[in-house]
Amino acid sequence: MIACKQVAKALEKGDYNKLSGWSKFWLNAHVKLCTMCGGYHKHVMTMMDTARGFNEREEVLSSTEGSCLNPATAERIRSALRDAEQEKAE
Amino acid sequence: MHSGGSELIKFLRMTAQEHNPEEWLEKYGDYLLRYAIMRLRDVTAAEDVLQETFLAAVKGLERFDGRVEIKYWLRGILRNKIVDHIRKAVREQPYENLEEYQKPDETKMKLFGIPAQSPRPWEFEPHLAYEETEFWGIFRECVDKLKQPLQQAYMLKELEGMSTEEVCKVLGITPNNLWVIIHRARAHLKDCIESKWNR
Repeated sequence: MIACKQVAKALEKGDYNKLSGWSKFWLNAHVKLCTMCGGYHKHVMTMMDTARGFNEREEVLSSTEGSCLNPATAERIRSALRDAEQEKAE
Repeated sequence: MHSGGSELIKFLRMTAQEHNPEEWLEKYGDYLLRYAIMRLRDVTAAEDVLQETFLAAVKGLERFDGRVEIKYWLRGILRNKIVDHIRKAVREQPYENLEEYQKPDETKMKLFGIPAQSPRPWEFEPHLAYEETEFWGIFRECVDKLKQPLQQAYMLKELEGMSTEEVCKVLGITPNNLWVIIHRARAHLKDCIESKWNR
């Protein structure tokens, strides 16, 4: 079993899904069994899952939204692109 | 049909080079703009980084190796431009009251690495709501509502997956500050999502 502080460190460092299979197993076991830090770390893991869930869906979700490039900005970028390409060609 | 991996990469690279950058703007402009707005919360700034992204892509097209789709290659450039934008903004106007974000010097923190007060359990099971589009709309709204530096830190660390060291460098804060900022951001998000989720 791993210690409370090791669990805290592993979660603080980053995404627990990047941990090895065994580390993940012990971490999950710890969070389930430890009354001392179980509640806190379950919360952290849930929030990490939620952030990852959003990342996985962001592209699809954003395609249904209204924000679009306005024509004036699109034209400004197009014009800058033409200049850059011309400059590159020279 | 292309036999070897290197031939395929060469083929993809050539295909990309044949693409017209103006066509990329047409195809991916809206998606990339929304990506930038979500992270910068400022339409004008998002439009500026979008323009910088396309210009950088035109200049660096030779470096495109065809391993990812053009869309994700552009998103990678955009991500770097967004981080540069935030770094510059923070350098020009550093966060005030960083002393507000200090890890508590309490026994439970020293012994177990956790704050004395654990958050109360969720009022609903968030994992079960992941398939609902409405849940993600609320999540996004709640991220938007986070104050600075919580929103920027949360976005870089949790949504962009940057390391603690990188985030601290960009935001000019210590790892200690970041721990507290992320802890508070998660707590605010949880409260906000719970208050808006009526199922």
